[in-house]
Amino acid sequence: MSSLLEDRYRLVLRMLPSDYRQAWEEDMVASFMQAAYAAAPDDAEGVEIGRPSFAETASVAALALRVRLGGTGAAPRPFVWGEAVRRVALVGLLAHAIGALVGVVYSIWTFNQLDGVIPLTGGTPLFGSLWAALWSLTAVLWLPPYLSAVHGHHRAARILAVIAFIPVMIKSVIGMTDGPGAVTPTQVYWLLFAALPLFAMAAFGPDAPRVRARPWLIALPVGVVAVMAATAIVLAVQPHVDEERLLPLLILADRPSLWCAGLTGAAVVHLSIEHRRPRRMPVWPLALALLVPPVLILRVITLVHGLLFAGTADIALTVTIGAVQCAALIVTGAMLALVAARRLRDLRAAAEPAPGQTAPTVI
Amino acid sequence: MAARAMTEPAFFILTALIDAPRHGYGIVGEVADLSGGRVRLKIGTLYGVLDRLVTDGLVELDREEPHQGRLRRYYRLTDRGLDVLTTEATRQAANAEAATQRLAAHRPATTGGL
Repeated sequence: MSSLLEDRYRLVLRMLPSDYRQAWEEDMVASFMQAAYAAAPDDAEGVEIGRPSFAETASVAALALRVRLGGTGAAPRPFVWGEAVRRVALVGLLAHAIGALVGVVYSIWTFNQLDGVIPLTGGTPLFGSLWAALWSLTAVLWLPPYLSAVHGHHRAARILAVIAFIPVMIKSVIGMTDGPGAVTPTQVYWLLFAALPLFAMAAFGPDAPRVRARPWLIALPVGVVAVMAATAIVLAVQPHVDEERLLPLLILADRPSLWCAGLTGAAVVHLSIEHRRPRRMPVWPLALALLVPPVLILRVITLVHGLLFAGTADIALTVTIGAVQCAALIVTGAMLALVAARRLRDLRAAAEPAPGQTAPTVI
Repeated sequence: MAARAMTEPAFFILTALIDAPRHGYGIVGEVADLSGGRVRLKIGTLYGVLDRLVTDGLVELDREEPHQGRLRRYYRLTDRGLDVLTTEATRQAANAEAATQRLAAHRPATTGGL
């Protein structure tokens, strides 16, 4: 009969993929139990009712992550998952970097310091003091981790991303504790959403392949121009819109909307070309599908929050805009998930006989 | 397979298997001894590395033996594993030798300056 400790360790091992457990579980349990008894040779009964230590549980969790998110030399399915999560991390870092650069350009623009550029009369300065100005510039800290990840310095990228996240966290915590009301779900979710690339960077392990830098380096200025264009259009239209109709306009160009538009656009492009490349690994469909749920939640949660401040005339239009954005995301997300699932299934079937690319089996 | 730098746990696990096949817990103990207690492998870490070494053909199953109602698997080094470990040990020894020579040349000046 198995002990409580063994049952608990087997529960921890359930974090591992089933084919991995099939190959290694019994051996891992045998080694773990032997180590546990050896650590307390005079208290076998105490050992049997114990729990796996945090360090042991963490080592299994790290193993589960490495097995599921593979790098160079991994089996095709974990490799695709690993690549997709690495793309999610890069997209998240790219968005932060674009946001930082747009913030700098916007700030300079609102102070009419761009020679030869039309003054941005509709815009309001992002900051009113030197300290606030310096604080807003901390967003630029997202550029180094992005550029490091793109150029293959994965370890540096992880450390720099954590450093870049610290001001975001401080700002969020101040926002949550400084306001008159309680902490809102929107504030909490924005913080989690900002942390998304940090979590996804766990896939940049030692075996992570190098990223093709050129497309990602081009994406940065293109993204800045696109976001600035959207902001400029809203600011140009804003003076001509009734105050009652302002909220729908702002919701069309807020950050969740930009995420929705960017993600839906990327999904449509990929879905339209994917059928021409049936043998290609479904890295992008999977990465985009993984991005859909967090962006969808962001859209819904910020929309609901925005409606609290909407006049009665705004509500119908605002809800319609939000519903269209959500519907577009759900439909394209479902199609991406289907494509990714079908290709992953094909990969498993194709990978089974391939030598050196098989699931772990002990000969 | 792309060339990867050998990690310290992988180096010690291969070293632990040079003289005899060992089971999982035996490897953990041997690695702790070899590293003077500095490297204490968690079971999750051990099997993550072991899985990679088996997949790369550096380690293979030697035998299974019953022990207290469980089957214990013993692993052994393959010929390829021995070659790779030899290359890695030579590389590390050369690195250490280069550092030792520089330190020896540098030490008198530093000591004299103090």
